[in-house]
Formats: sequence, C-alpha cells, structure tokens
Amino acid sequence: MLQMWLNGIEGLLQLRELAFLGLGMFIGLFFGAIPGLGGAAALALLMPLTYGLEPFTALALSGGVMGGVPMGGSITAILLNTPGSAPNAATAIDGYPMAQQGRAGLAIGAAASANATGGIIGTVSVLAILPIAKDIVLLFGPPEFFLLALLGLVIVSTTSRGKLLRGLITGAFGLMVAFIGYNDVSGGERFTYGIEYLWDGVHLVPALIGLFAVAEMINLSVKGGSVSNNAASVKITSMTGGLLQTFRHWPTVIRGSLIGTIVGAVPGVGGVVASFLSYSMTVQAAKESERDTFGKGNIKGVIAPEAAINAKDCSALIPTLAFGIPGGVEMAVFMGILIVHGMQPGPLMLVDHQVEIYGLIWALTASCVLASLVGLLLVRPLSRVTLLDSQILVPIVLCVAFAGSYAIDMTIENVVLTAVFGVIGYLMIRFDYPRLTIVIALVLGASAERNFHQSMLMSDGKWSIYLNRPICLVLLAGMIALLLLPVARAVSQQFAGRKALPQRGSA
Amino acid sequence: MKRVFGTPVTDYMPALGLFAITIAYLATAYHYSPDARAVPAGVAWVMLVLVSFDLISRTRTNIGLALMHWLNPAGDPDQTKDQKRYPALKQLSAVIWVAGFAAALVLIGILYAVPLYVFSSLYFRGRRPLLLAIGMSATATAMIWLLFAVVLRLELYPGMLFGGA
Amino acid sequence: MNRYTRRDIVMSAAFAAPALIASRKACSAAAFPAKDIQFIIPYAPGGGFDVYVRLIGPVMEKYLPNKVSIVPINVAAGGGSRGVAQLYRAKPDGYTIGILNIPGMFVLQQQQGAGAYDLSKFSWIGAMGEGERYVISVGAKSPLKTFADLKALSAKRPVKFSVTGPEGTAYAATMIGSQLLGLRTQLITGYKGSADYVVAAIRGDSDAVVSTVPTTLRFARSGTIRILASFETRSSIPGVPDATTLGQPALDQISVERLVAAPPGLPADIQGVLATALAKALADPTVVNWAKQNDIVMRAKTPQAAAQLVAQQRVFFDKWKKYLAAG
Repeated sequence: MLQMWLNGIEGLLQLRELAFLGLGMFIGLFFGAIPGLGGAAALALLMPLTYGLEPFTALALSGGVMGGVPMGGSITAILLNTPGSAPNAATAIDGYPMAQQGRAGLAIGAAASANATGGIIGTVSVLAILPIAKDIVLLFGPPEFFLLALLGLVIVSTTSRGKLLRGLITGAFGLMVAFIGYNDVSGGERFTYGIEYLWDGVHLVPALIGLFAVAEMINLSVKGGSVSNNAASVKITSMTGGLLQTFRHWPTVIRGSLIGTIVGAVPGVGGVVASFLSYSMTVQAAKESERDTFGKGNIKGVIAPEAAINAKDCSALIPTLAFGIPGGVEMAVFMGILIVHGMQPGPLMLVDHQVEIYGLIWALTASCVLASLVGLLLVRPLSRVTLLDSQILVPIVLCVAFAGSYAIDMTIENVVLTAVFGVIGYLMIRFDYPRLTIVIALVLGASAERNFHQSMLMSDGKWSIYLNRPICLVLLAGMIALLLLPVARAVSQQFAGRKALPQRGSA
Repeated sequence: MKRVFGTPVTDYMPALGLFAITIAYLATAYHYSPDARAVPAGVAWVMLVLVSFDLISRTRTNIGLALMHWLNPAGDPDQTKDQKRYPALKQLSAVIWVAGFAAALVLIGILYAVPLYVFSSLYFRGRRPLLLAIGMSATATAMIWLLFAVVLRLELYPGMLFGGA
Repeated sequence: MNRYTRRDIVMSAAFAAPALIASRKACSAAAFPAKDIQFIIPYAPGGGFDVYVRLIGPVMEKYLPNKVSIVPINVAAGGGSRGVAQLYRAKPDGYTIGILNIPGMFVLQQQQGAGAYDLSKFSWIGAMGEGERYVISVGAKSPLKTFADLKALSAKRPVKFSVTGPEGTAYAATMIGSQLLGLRTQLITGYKGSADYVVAAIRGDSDAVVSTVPTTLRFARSGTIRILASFETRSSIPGVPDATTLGQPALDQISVERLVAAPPGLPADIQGVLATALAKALADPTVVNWAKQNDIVMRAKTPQAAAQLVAQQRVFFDKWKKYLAAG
C-alpha cells in the first residue's frame, strides 16, 4: 500500500500536473469566496477544459479546486458573516465577531492554518482507513442518516448560547421551510401554493445568501460605519498571529479533524454536521469560565469548524468514489468529470484506479495547504475590507450576492428568493433570533424526513429499528448526552446559588 | 405605547407574526394526505407550543420572566434594555433599497440594474462624489460582465420587460 | 480520447467571443450553423444526461458543416420540466436543442400536470445511444439466489424494493415491472440518485432493486450485487432469465431513452444537418470506445424512429398511468 501512496505522489510531481493543481486552487479559492458559486460551479466551468487532459491531470485540477474552495468560503464567512457554503456557517459564529473587533486578520490566519492542518490530518486518516472505507459507508443507512440529522439539529440548538428557545423556534421554522416542495416519499407537492419554482423546494444556496450576505448588508447599512470600527487593531494585523494561535490550541485542531474525517464521510449531511459538531464539542470541552466567550470572538470557535471542514473533504470522496453516491453538488459534478474520463465510480474504482485515487487525495491535500498559504499571505489586505465604509461595501457585496445567486442555475427567481430571505434574515437579526439553526434545519430538514419515512418502510413501522442497529445506538446516546449536559450544568449551578431570577420590578 | 402584561405591544410582534404563519402552515398541511402531512404537521404543532412560550416569555409576569430566564437568558429585560435601537424609517429605507435592487434585476435585467443600483446607492443615498459613483458602477458592471458572460459563458438575465422568461 | 491542444481551446474561445457578440444580430438559415448552438440539459451538472452531452457535444461539433461550438447549458429546476419548457419555447432555428429523458418526462408530467410543453410536438433529431433496459437484482449477501426465490418470497410477503421518488423512472419501472411479473411489492421511496437506491439493496435496506443495465453492471462486476432477471427481450447478461423466458415481452418496453430534440417547427433541412452530425458523432471512435468501457450501446436513431419511439412510449405509459398516480 505504501507503494501506491508513493506512486500517487510521484504522478503528481510533474510540472504539468502541478501547474493544473495551482490553477484549480486559485479558481477554487475565488469561487469559494463568492456566495452562490462554490466548488460545483468551478468544476462545471472547468469540465470542458479537462477533455484534452490525461485522467491524472484532470484529477490534479479537480483536487486543486476542491482544496481551494473551503478557504475561500472561510474568508467571506469571517469578513462578511456570509458562509461560502453551509459548513462555513459555523466558522462565522465566532469569526465574524472577531472581524467586528478588528481581529479579522487573526481569524483568517487561524482559519488558514486550521484548514491546512485539518486537511493533512484528514488525509492521513482517510489513507489509513481507505481499505475498509467501503464497508464503513455501507453501515450507514436511512436510520443512521435520520439520527445523524436529528443529532445535527440538537447540536445547533444547544450551540445558540443563551437563546435556546428562540433557537428552537428558528430551527422549527427552518424545518417548515425545508418541507416545501415535491415530496419524494409519497409524491405530491407541499406548500408550494402553485409556484412552479418551489417544486424543488426552497433552493438552499440562494436562501443562505439571503439570510447571511443580504441580511448582514441591510444591517450594515442601517448601522452605518464599517464591519469593524476598531481601525487600530486592524492595522496591527500580523500574518503569523493566527498561525501561532492554531498551534497553541492543538487539541481543538485534532478534535475537529477527527470529527471531520469520521462524520464528513456521510453523504449529504456530513459537511454541515461535522463542522457544527466540532464547534459544539469544543464549546463543551472548554472550561466553564471560557464557555461564555464563544459566539463573541473566541478563536477556538474558528479553529474547530475549519479543521473539520477540510478534514471532511477527503472523506467525502469515499462514498462518491466507492459507490457513486455524491456527497453534495460539488461531488456530483466531480463524478461527471470522472465518468467522462472513463473512470466509473463504483466498488471497482478503488481497485482499478488506485494510483489515480491516491494522486487525487494528495492533490487535494496539497491544494488545501497551498490555499491556506495564500490565505495567510492575504491576511493583511483582506482584513482591510472590514474597514471599508458601508456605503461602498454594501452595494458591491449585494451585486456579487445577487449575481451569484442567479448564476447558480440561471434562474432569476433565485434573486427573489434571496431578497425574501434577506429581509427575513434582517428581521431575525433585529429581533434577536439566531440564524444558525435555520441553516441546519434547511440543510437537514428534507433529508431527515425522507430518511425517517424510509426507516419506517424498512422496518414496517416499528420504531425499534433505531435500537437494533449499533451505530444508531451510538448516535442516540450522543444526542441524549448533548441534551442533558447543559441541563445538568444549569441545575448544579442553581444549587451552587450562582443564578438568580430577575424580579418583576426590574427594567 | 400601550402595554400588555407590562410589555409594549410592538414587542410581541415577532412572536405574533410567527404564530400567524404557523397557523396558516398547519391549515395548508391538513389538506394533504396523512402520509404527506405527518411530519410537517408535527413540526408545526411543536412550533405552536414554542411560539406560545415565546409570547409568554415576553410578558413581565412571573411566569414570563422565569421562562425567558431559563430558556432564553439573552432576552432577559436587563440584558436587552441596553441594546441600541434604530429609527424605524432608517431600517425601512435600507430594506426598500435592497428590495428595489432585486426588483430592478428581475424587471430590467442584470446588465442594467447593476450600474443603476450601484450609482444611485453611492450618489443619491451615500452622497459620494459623482466621479466615484460612476467609476464604481462601471467597475462593478464590468467585473460582473467579465466573470459571468465571458468566463462562465452564462447568459445574463435580460429582464422581464425585455423578453426574459 | 480526442486530444484538444491548447491551440484548439484558444481557437474555440476566439471563435466563441465574436460569435457571442454576433449572436445579437440576425442570422440567415441558409448558412446553418452560423453561430454557437445551445444544448439544453434539463438536469444539474455531473448527472448521467449531463455527461452524455458534454462528451458527445464536442464530437458533434466536428461533423457540423461550419465550425461552431455546441455549448451545454444546465437548466435544472422542477425535476427537469423547466429545461424542457425552455426548449419548447425557444425559436426553432436550430440554435437551441436539448436532451430529453423519455419516458422520464411522461412520468414527470403525470406528477406535475401537463405543464408548458407537449412532448409529441417536439422536432426530433435522434438519440444518444440505444435506450437502457432494466434488470432486477439483489445484494450479494441476500438469501435470494434466483428469480424463482424472489417469486417464492413474494408469495409469503410483499417484496421490498428501493426506488427513487415517484417522479423518477426507477419508480415507474419497478411498479410496472412488478405488476407484469406478478410480484407483490412494497416500495421504499425517496432515494436520491441512481447509485443511491442500488446501494440501498446492497446494504440490505430493501430486498431487491430494479435498475438499468449499465448502473447494475458496475456493481455486479465487483461482486456486490447479484442480477436475478433482465427485462430485455434477450438478456445481455449470461445465466439470467429475460423477458421472453419469463413470458412478459412487454418488459422490454420499459426503457430510459436519451432523445435529442429541437423546438416544434424546425425546418427539415436544419433538422437533417443536426441529425447527421449526431449520428456521425455516435460512430466516432472516441464515443464508441467510451461507450464500450461503460456498457452502453451507442446506436443512433433517425428522427423518424425517435418520433415513433415517443409515440409508443406515450401509449405504453398511458396504459399504466393508474399505477403511477401519486400516493
């Protein structure tokens, strides 16, 4: 097996392959940053370019793109509170407050280094388990997917510090929105009110762009000023600050990478759940006194999800390559590239094309590290964005946001959807309802319901199916633990006499 | 400002709005077959309970304050009284500018709406110098055109008024 | 695989740029094609149909009388109906063509309503290959070893089949196939994508699965899946009963066809140019080799044959409509 590893690297170390890797990396970085584009659009754009290339070169290019996209997404998540893709939403929780405090450079630097480290750890882990990877994927069926989605929902609800009730409300709202559209299980449209555009449901990416980019811009134009009013802090941004912080918090990085590798392999929900789980576990593992600083600019809140996101990129390849089940839109396009080049995803792929796969994995890792380096280099100029006045920043971002939303699939209704969710998002900011739970609910809602129905069909309606399968039991235990932990803590605090209810007469 | 249970009426608006939406959602759900409505209706009922809690927690009664404290401490009255409040007109204006831009994109297409919006936003709303406004709107349009029409070879939406689908 | 040198790419771009500008001016039909041709794919990039177009499109370019580009455009919304509607509404000047999933579009229309297009009115250009037929398989670990075992199971209890959603062809194929074969079924619906629902059978979610020959062969070769029967008239898989053996030749009519079409009212001469280019592309060694690698039969169809096929499929699906109504 070591021979295969080395063959993979060797194949990559040709000038042409490296050139294409670099090209893919830059394109991925750029597309990842623009809300609405992302890896799928980048790969679709490059597909014609790959026709004349050798399969290995095409893989180098694709790996380059896939490695660069997360870094691009982190940058916009931190600077503008706009996730480049759903998993980056976790980065923004602490990343954006850091930007507002003038520490954008630190955040980007930390994200970059967490990216690189997470990517490397993820690669090593995946390479180690690749021989048995297929069997692991087969262990996950509808019951596991359902519980995983439920786990994701629980995690995010417990993440909204101090806003549990409103977090649950927005989560439920997100679920209600997720059910709009054609129902795959029993057929028939729901809640579309005759609007043809809603047949496929509320399109996720335009909604996210609205909820975050547009809402944030509305907020900024009301507040005035710039993202950060702390010019002094921005001006002393150093390139290595974030890098050092990441190494200081190495347990967080390791934790995030492992979670990303394991959870990220689950198709569809893996990425989002991985990054939020990593964030949530880091919060839980922190000392009591530190826990309240999360959500307000704690750098560990940036490192944790970023490590997970890049670790997951490698493991997300497993279901795609081994079975042809794409983990997401980006993977679906990537599969198209594979097929055009005569590499059919399927159980034989891991056998027939081992060298190419290892080459791809190394390409992805190398691109991830390179993208992080570019991110580090750009830390100073990027942090200046937070000093741009809102009058200039807002129109530019809105143009890019709406254009990107349209460009996803050339549907102008996306723009309307983005605008609608922009207003909804702004109302949520103004009335202090967390937006994060909506993200998870939108991403997981439809698949949660579908997997629930499928589990019931599999078991002929018996709920015991969730107790008969080992992984389900693990997930259930995890959920219960996550739910009970905060309650247990609050109760013990109450007994220690630290919490007191406000009286009726105050305020 | 009229107060109900100790809280100004306007403070109940978000929860009341959500309540109304959920009721409408439930009503629609019950038109579907039992299989199709099982999960959405279930979620909607849970939502009703949650929103009721939200409503109660906004009152200044003992129950309300306790609910807010245990379930949503960030909304405690002593936390929120220091929050900055922005004039309603300013917020409405910001929303209208964005909605207007979206409407322009739909009606007259991307290639015309972008420069129009960027220019008006900078010149009329932001009161920046004319040259800067023209420069920025030209740059923004050029970049979008370059990226989408030339590199990606995607057709930029021409606008409903000009024949778009 | 045809090698596109950097020069070719630059040349194409150089042709495309002025063509894009020139496309705003009117073009005469006599010098067809005078500008780039748009090829509408009613699905997202990366899917089966998308791959076909992106592979065959550039080859088709070679066989057109003038040197223009065929630009694939993904219009993925409404499960495919938006792309089809867009094709239907486009000008029948030969500069917009598209790929259609038959009977996928019939099935979709049954779920969505007639929609903005009439499938019988399209101008047909041909097909990207012979239609794919279905097979019934079980996971390798399944206790069922032959088709007879499957029938025996069906006598005891409904057989669980994993399928995609009711708007997909797999659902229709499973429903119709099991009706014809006399199998009692319970469908586990909602899997997304052609690989996903086959893996479900491998994993043990369902007892069996009905999937197309190329998709299934991928798994069969690695020994993860066992094919029990084929819907083809003559089974292409050795040792497996086919529709004739099972006494149900109608099973062969259940297929997934990739038909290429243009908006209604396409002038016959332009139709001829496009049809010839498509047919020649399918015979091109690049395409033939790729097809062989992927177990696909790349036989071209004349426009008339395509139109006839559509009419046949419509009759077939009208007959089975009542089994496919929404749950």
